[in-house]
Amino acid sequence: MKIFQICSSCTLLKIRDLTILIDFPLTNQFPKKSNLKEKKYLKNIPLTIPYISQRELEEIDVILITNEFGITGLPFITEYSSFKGVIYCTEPILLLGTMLMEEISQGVINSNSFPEILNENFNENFKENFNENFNENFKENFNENFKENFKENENIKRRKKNPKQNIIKDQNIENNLININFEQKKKYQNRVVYSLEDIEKSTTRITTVKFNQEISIYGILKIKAANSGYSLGSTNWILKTSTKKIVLMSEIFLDKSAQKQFSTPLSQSKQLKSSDVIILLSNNLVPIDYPQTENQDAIMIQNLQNNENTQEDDKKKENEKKSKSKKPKTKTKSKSKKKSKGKSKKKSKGKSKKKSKGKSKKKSKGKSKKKDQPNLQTPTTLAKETFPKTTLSNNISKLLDYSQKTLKRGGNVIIPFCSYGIFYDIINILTDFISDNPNIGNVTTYIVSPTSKKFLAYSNTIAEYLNENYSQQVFIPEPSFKFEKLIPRGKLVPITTLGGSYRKEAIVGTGNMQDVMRINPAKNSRVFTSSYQQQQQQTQDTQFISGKIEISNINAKIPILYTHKTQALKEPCVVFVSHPSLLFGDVVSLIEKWKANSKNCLISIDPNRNFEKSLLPFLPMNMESFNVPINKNANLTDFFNFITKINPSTLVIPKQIFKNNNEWIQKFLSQNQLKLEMVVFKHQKTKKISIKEEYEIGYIESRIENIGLNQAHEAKFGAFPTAMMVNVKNYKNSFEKVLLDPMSSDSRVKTQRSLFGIPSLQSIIEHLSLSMNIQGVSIHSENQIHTISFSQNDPIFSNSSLIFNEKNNQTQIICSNEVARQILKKAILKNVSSFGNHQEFY
Amino acid sequence: MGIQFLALGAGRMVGRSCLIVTMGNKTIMLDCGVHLGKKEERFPDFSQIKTKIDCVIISHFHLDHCGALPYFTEKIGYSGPIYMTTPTKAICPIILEDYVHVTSDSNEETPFFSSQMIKDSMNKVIGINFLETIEIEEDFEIRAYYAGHVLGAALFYVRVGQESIVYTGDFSMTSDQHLGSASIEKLNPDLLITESTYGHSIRDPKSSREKHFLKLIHEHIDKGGKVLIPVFSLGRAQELCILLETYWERMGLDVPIYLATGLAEKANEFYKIFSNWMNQELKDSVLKKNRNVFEFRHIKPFDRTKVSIETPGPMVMFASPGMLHSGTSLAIFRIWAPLEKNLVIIPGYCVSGTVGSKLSETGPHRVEIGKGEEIQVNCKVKFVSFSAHADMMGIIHLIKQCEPKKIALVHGEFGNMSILRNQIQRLTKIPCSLPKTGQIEFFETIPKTEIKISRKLIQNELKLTKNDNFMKFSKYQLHNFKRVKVSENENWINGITLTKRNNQNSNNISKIYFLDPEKTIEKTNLVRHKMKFLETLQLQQEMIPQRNSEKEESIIQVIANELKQILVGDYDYDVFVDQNDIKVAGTSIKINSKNQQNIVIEWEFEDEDIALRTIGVLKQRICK
Repeated sequence: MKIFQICSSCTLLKIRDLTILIDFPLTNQFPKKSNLKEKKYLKNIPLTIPYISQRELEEIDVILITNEFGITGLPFITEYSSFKGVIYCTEPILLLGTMLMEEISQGVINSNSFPEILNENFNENFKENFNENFNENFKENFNENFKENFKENENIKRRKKNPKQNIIKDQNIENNLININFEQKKKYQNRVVYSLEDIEKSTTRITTVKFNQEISIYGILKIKAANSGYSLGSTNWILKTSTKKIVLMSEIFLDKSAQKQFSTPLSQSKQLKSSDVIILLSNNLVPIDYPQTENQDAIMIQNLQNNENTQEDDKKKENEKKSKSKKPKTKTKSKSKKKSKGKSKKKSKGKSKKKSKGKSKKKSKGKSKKKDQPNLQTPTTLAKETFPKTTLSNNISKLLDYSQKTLKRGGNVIIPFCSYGIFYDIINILTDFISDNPNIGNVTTYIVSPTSKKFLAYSNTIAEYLNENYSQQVFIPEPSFKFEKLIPRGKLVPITTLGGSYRKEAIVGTGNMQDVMRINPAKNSRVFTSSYQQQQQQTQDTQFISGKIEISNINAKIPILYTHKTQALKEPCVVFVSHPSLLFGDVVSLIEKWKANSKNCLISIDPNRNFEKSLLPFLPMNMESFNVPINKNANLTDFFNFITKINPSTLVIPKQIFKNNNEWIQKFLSQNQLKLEMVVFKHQKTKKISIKEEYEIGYIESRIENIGLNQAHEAKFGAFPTAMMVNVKNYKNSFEKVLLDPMSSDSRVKTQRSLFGIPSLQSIIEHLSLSMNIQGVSIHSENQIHTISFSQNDPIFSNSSLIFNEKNNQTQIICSNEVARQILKKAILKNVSSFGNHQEFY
Repeated sequence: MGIQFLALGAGRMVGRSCLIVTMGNKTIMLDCGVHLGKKEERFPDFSQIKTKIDCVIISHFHLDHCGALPYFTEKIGYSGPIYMTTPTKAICPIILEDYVHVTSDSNEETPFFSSQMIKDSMNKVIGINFLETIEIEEDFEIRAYYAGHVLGAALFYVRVGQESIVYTGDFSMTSDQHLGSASIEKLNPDLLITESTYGHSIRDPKSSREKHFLKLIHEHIDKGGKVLIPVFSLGRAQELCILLETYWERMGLDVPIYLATGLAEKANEFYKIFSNWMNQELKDSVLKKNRNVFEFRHIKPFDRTKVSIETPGPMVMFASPGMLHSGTSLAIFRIWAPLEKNLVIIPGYCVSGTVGSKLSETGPHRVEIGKGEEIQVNCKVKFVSFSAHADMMGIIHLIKQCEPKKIALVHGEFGNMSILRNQIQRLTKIPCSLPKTGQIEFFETIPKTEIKISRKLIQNELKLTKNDNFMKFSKYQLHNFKRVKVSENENWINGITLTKRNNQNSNNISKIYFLDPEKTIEKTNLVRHKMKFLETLQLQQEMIPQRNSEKEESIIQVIANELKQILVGDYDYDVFVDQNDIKVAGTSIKINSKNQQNIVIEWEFEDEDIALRTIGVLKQRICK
């Protein structure tokens, strides 16, 4: 088994010659600094997909998806490569992932800018390490491909000589990258990442699975999706070979104290029990050792880091990030000082204060220039002193706290949003909090995204993926989420786009019509309004409907899609607005609009993004901004306690985690007396994980007595020549039914031709001279080599000889006469045999 | 080894499904239903159960499959796990609640279980999703498959150790307005227990029944008549509502449709929430069109205070209960029945004794509606069956999908079942039995013995390269990969079975291996013996002059070419030339020419067949 991490959220796994790709996300990079000033970043949106070449894609048999983001790069594989394998994911992930893709696609179109798609972390290590075997195979098996293959290697060599060469511009290599082809280039000019058609086609290639549904892959591997609890439908994959159980763990939700607030159930160790190998794919564990926000930044660095960065650079950057991340924190501090009412979360505030104080002493802040502090306190000591064990609940209360304050002073809250399962919980918690709060109970919450309506509609139908508190609701029957009730009351409003003054162009047929198209209420035709208005008017006039409508009374059946001109937001309000990258989507214009007012605030909850860096293009702004990452992933202690319960023999973890927590892990293992083989894999380096597997398991469908295996044997073992039927065509059941036939009555059972035993010279000669009555047999022995020769006068045996090498237990018959050869052969076979009771060969 | 089977109900009859299956050391109860017609035999006779029940599985929410569950858990005292799909779990208590009310109201019986008992019972239920495998204990697992029939109905696969069964519950093999059709994998269970309600017949396609249904209604409302459709609140009602709703939409009708079922709104709410469990079309309409089909535009809940059933003019009314034995549907029937232009369509099955079962399609007649009261029925009465059961072809189709070793038929009339049995045995050749209620039946199973097969052996025997494995093998087969020759259906691997005992005296084999020779030696104290052969052949005279004119190497080339002609063509052996040697078929056979006149052939015992064939060719074409 081999593992290769392409980038932090995309991994290749080779197990038993199956190549498995885990996740293929489309992520965004940050705009180049040079672009910031002139706001060029709006012209070019840098998006990246993990680097993988056509050739490798061809070899991939299965793609397993662990979370919604893992789907977002798939159209590049399914539509623009020769990938032939299967893709598996759970149903919520498919649906939410599809929405995410639509959001990106629509968002980029609407933002009037061009996506620029790059391959992330291009690295020839990949080829060299991982594909060594691949290439050999190709040479051996696909001769016709050999030449091409050779060419590819040439490219690598050239690249090595000139590493600075921009890989994207290199024509030859370009051909190897998946997304570069002519048609697509054309599409770039149309400002499309992928079209809705691409998305639809791509999603039809995906096979959905249920949790705990067992699927056989070519009869070698059984895969099973286990709930990770991180987000709706997010998955840890269990791979079962005939003897081993391997768990691919992406994220894992174990925080019991936070469970009540979230709708997804906790990960259960029961499903993963008796696993042999656990592979932790995510770098995203919440370390207990240092504050969460800083860790997030460190991870972002990891995502962003280029190959040229040395480890020292990494450290530097990490420190930079740390100092950066303090900026919002200090704001928090000042805020809490100003308005310190000590309301609810005294503890957490106190702690965050401590932290920011301690830090600000050590470091001087400032956006542009930072200094490294050589005598920075080690994270471990920091953590023990100042930080609570769980930051998840605290961050939620912070989120509520900030929102409340902002709304109370009449400001608006912007929360960058995408169709991600966690937002169901966030919306639920926030709307619940607001409607329970008398001061701000009238505030309307908006969800602005091309897919907002779908997103809310789907929340109704997912009870089986939720934890007990939520799924019990359906037995009443009630919607699982409380926010459902707010929609008819107009307190929670889904909007496809804010439209109007923020955008100039109208795009037909995408669901984002900017200008209101009003069809005069002629005969039998209908008047369309936005969903917002619809909510209010529905009671009076049932003729108002929204969405896609076919007008049958007009000659042409054109689907007309609608939104209101400039969506009037009833302020103050909470707006969940796409997209969290802050590069495209309505969030861009909304921030621009509201950033001047210091009453407003922007809260980011995404733990996987560098909020600070995303904000750079909008600076300066008066609006407050907070980073409150809601990271449901387990922390180290919980994770290792969980592992202890499962008790695997091998644990595979990314270096990122091991490096930072080495001491802690060692201590934990020794304390708990856990016998665990740790395998640490590095970014962009192939790592072998040895699992010993010699056997396949089959079943004989017959009684043991019937096949004669139970016959009395004196020895401790019995051995027979046998044949087994393997049905290759129906590979699904390849080893389930094994037919054994030991007695070679069936012509399909070939006699076992391997010989066992040591012949005795004595008996060979006896056989030849006495039984066969051959005259003139003579023996010449030298150095344990015995040569038996025959009389020259013998008509059959002349020129024949039999050499018995006692040392090597080897006999050689030199003979040109067929009859003589058979007699000599028999003389030896009398003494050796294929097996025990199976003496009769001929 | 075997499977013990006891039907406490549904053996050669319809109703009161309750089957006890014992296999391995586990006893499983499949369904726990009541008999709706016979009061005396309402509950299964639980006293016949001799062993502890390890788990209860409920296939769907119909009373003849789940009705006795609270009785079994609360009165008999079963406390183990109960499994049903989430929709079944949600709807079951409502149905049970309704059942208790209806029976206690109409028959003045004391309720046999209380609401609290239903609640307590349902609290023990564990929800399962389709295709999810739940491992109850080690080597004891259950899995649910989609069954159509009603919302949340499931086929169940149960495996204990090596033995397994599939229980179908009720299922339909055709999709309808809101549900898909049943489907199952090729599970090869030891026993398939299948329902056979309509197993004797081949039914009309659903679409023609739907057409007929709509035509009847449309005719009557055109005449200004009123249409009464007695239904139960959950299941069929929703299917027919969708049917009428879309028809109304399409035809532009504005005749009011009312839903007078006690739980109408609650029921629709359930159907909205569980739209994920229905067919693809419905799911898409929720997600893509953002429209839930259970939000009806034409069908409105019936409110007595606003609408009177005596209002003149056409009207369509869905009313519960479905068998016209009490409640709203009977009350409406009493008023509408005497009028000639009205219509009553009965879409479901009516148990004998109910008003529904007394009606006939043959024209005006008098019907007793309870307590000696009789009314004149002048309206039209039609029976259009919408109950979703698989017909003969459907059942046989499922059997072919699932490929069981034995079949037991339940949930059907004896006569019909024997027709189905004959058909099954004729078409599938699988033994099929009809267990009787209350009688223990035993199905023998063949035990399987685990065998460890050396992966290396498979690779060697199937001539796979080092990095290939079994899967690639099948892949290459698809790509016409030359080096592997695969017969159409079967591939035989030759190897050595090695049986190991715990100790010398024991007769029990603890482990069986299937190995290659090398591995056998490693595992035992045997010694490998190698036998080699060497033969010298004289070249033909004609070959020698040819050879003189050319270079030395070409003798080999000449021989190789000759060999290739026959061996590659006729036997598909590869012939390689490696400097001064020729190798045949990648075996140990070596041919070289040491002097001008002779060639020497060397081979090992293992390759004798190929060697002899090669010599044959050489003797024929090149040598003396």
